[in-house]
Amino acid sequence: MKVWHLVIKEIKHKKLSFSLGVLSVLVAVGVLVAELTLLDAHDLQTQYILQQKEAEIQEKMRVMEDDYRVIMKEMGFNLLILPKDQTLGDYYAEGYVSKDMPEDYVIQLSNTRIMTIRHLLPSIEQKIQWPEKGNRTIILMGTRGEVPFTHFNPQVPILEAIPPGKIVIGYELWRNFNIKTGDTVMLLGKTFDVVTCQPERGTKDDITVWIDLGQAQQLLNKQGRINGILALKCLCEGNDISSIRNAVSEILPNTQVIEFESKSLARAKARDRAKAIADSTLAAERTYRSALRIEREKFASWVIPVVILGCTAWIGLLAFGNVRERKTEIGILRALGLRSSQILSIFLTKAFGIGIIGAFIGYSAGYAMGMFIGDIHMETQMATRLFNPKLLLLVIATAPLLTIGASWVPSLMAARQDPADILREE
Amino acid sequence: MLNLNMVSKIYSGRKGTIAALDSVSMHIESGEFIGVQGPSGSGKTTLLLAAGGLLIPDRGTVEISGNNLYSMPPEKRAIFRASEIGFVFQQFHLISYLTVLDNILVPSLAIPGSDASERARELLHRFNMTDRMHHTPSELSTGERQRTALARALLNKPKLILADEPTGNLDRENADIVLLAFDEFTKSGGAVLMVTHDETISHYAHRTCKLISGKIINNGE
Ligand SMILES: Nc1ncnc2c1ncn2[C@@H]1O[C@H](COP(=O)(O)OP(=O)(O)OP(=O)(O)O)[C@@H](O)[C@H]1O
Ligand SMILES: [Mg+2]
Repeated sequence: MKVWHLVIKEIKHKKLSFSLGVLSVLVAVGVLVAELTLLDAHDLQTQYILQQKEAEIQEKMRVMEDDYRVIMKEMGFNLLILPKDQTLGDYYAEGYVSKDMPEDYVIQLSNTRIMTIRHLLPSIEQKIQWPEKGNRTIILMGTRGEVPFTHFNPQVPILEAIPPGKIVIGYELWRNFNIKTGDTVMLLGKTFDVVTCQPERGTKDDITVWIDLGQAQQLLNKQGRINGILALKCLCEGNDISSIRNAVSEILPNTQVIEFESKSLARAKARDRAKAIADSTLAAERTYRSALRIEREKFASWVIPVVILGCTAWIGLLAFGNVRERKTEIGILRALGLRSSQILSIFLTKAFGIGIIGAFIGYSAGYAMGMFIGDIHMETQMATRLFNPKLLLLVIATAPLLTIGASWVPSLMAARQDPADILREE
Repeated sequence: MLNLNMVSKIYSGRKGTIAALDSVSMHIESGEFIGVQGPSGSGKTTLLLAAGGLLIPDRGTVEISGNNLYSMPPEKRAIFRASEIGFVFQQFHLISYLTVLDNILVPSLAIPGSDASERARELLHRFNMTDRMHHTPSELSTGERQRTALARALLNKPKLILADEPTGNLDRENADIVLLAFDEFTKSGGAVLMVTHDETISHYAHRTCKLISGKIINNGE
């Protein structure tokens, strides 16, 4: 017979008290492992989520880039050629061009073999008061149909010309003055037939009227002058419009070229916006995850020591109870010649057993719990990555130390117990 | 074999001092069976514990086979006790969670011997307990319990048996089994010191001493 023999028999006999001991180790180890597994799971998941998000964003960006390329190819740029002395600041602030240039420029441009520029639409515009309508401020816009490039096949014009004597009226104006298609209106002493009432656009177009370029030049007393040339669907490689700028300024040195609100520009902006949003959601996710991590760390940092302390105290109490209820047995064992070191080893062996078994079950329970809370599925690769053999070893090494430590004082009491006290109590 | 020389044990508490043993001297040879009688509280158990190395006397010496018990370090005394002395108690004091066989084997924890198991079976047979060896004490009759305790006391082949009212809880038949076993033990060269109220001790014991208030009144010689 060996001491461990006796220990095992006692354990088998007192299963409940042993199970309570194992349970408290299980809880302590379980909470520790669960918390650490959860933190590991958190990091893995963060990595995974961010990778996923990044991939998503990249894919979105790629799709947009493709879109953009297609649009560029099909639509090209919309360019606006303005007089060189037009301050862009004024143009953007006022919404219309105040400087002018010779109408001739259009012809010059259309006569060149510049391949990138297409669909030239010269126009004149000016902010005026509409004398016949109570001096209402409007923008008078004179346009003419497309000027075909002489070397291109005349294609369907992109913008229809407005014939002389006709007028197109912006939304605000026709609504205000109760003008309908088919009405006649007076503008600067001339009569015009209303051909179109524009739908609402929410831009300066709503207070604009369009008439024939020649008539507009006449009315504004600017014969042979224009404010700008709209060049639509200009093509160029990539999104580099500087090459077009150079080409145009070679032909028309007294002009400047700006990119006009084109679809491609809008797309580019949308893409930038989407990228910015994606970046900020990624950053937000990152912030959220690290905040969550800090919260979980904080929780773990007090929960682990509290639980371990509580369980250690509980194990100590259990050991104390065990020693008390085995007083007589200890007395008999001493009478039968067992040394007090052997009595000590009986209780410490039991504590060791409680620690070892509790550590194994506790690790498994904590591992499962950590994955459950961390929302990680058992079969996944992440689960295997979360299995931490170092932690398992650590737990198996330290849990018995903990239980032995907690049982030390009661075990020492048992070893030092005076057998005579018990044996006299016959 | 056992030599108590002027052994005194005095308990001093709040209610005054009690001389549980008062200059007790006693000598037991191998092969002797000595009975001790005395009223309750006269110091009988104290005497046995002092003789068994479990209670350090205030004065006097206890020698077994020429070894002064209380000059040994405690661990050595424990081993000495395990090999030289067998205890038998009135309450049997078996370990409740061990079977009869395991209870008998407990002394081998103190002195590991390869033949312990064989010896245990021998003793089981001798005390007619072979068919009960896998039972726990709660499943035994009182007589069977005391026979188990006897077997346990004999496992390490001690030279001295200290018995504290071993027949106190037994019927006549079982009491005789115990006393007969002690008789056999002394015949094979062992010594027995037995505390008892049992009057039939005189049929078995070579001498019976009287202990009153911690003093040997009559050493039975
Ligand atoms: N720890 C103690 N403190 C104080 N007095 C004690 C202590 N142990 C024993 N005594 C006293 O010592 C005396 C002898 O006790 P002991 O147990 O040896 O008597 P006993 O003869 O075995 O009695 P019984 O026949 O009832 O078993 C008793 O009066 C008892 O009250
Ligand atoms: Mg007594």
